Amino acid sequence: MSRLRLTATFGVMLSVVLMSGCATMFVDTGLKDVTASEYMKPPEPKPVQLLFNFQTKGAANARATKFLTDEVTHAVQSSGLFSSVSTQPVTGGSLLSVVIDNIPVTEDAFSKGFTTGLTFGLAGNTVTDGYVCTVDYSAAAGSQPIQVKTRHAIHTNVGAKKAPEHAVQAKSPEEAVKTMARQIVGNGLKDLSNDPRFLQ
Amino acid sequence: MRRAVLALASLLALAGCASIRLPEPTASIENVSALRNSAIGRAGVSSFSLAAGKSPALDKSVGVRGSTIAPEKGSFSAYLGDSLRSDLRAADKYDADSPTVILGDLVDNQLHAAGASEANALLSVRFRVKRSSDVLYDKVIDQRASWKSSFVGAIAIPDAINHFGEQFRLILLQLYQDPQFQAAMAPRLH
Repeated sequence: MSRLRLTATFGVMLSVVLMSGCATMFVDTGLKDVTASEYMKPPEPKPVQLLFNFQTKGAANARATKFLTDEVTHAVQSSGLFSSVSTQPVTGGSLLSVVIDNIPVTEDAFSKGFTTGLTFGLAGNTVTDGYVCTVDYSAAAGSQPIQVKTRHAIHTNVGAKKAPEHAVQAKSPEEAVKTMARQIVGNGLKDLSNDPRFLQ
Repeated sequence: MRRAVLALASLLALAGCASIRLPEPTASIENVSALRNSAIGRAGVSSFSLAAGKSPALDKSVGVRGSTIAPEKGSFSAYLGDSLRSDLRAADKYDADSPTVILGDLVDNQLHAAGASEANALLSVRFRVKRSSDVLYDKVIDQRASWKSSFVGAIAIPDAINHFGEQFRLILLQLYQDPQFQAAMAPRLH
């Protein structure tokens, strides 16, 4: 069979599995939502400029950035760590950068999907997407930034497969991704607020 | 996230082809930091267009395995100008009324993602900085990238979109880090 024909066959099988509703997403429970009381709030919160970027394997993913911008902005606003959040420069020059990078945890995801497709979903598999969130905060232009990193994961069951342990099923892919974003940014901000330099 | 991308890519594979639009540019921390940490003054953004004598196709779309990538609006050269404006605004270095302006001509724009193991892209732009009629900076910058690809379109196409889109950010980062550009953009007494 030629490579082109093989590729087409793989694609069709994968499509059948994905579109038949045999894939279910689970958000890892390693991170949870952060409550308002868990943030160490400064006595006088300052305005901050927020820059958010989503990456896939280190490369900027513009469409995912657009999709998650509102969720991330809301997470920063609701933390109460800042008096206001803007995409434009603010008085005092404080800058908060949030980067979420989607890194492969299951390297052979396509092979697993292919096996599942070949058996019409009977041989189920779990594929895991890892996410690393890097939060950088500079109190003013030229000041030494504070950096914190948090990690999260989304597990996807393809075909007949038991739910993964330590994970909560999401109602939809959109809910899974937005929950991951809210939790990974919230926990990053919590760690930032616990850094003594943040309150100075 | 990958499942959603795979489902989309699979639908595209079944449909045969698709047109993918690059969303409006957003400023990145790396580019904004490069501008904030330099001593450059505020500037405006003037014309960004296709270089004279080049094929208009370079400025409109690129192909990736039967699909096309195009900017959300206008042309790739206009997209680059918008990216520059977005970076300057986010770094508080933008002034639409400044006598110092940055211009750009798109010289080359390629994406090759048909290979089973490696893909690459090239973006080439002639940047100029002008103050009134004086040309303070005039240089062609090449941004080359290569990355691991896959024979599976569902993996290769999204990767190609991301890397191609990042070319515009990376060529601007090269510009910001160029000492000659920084010297040309140093604040001057009016």
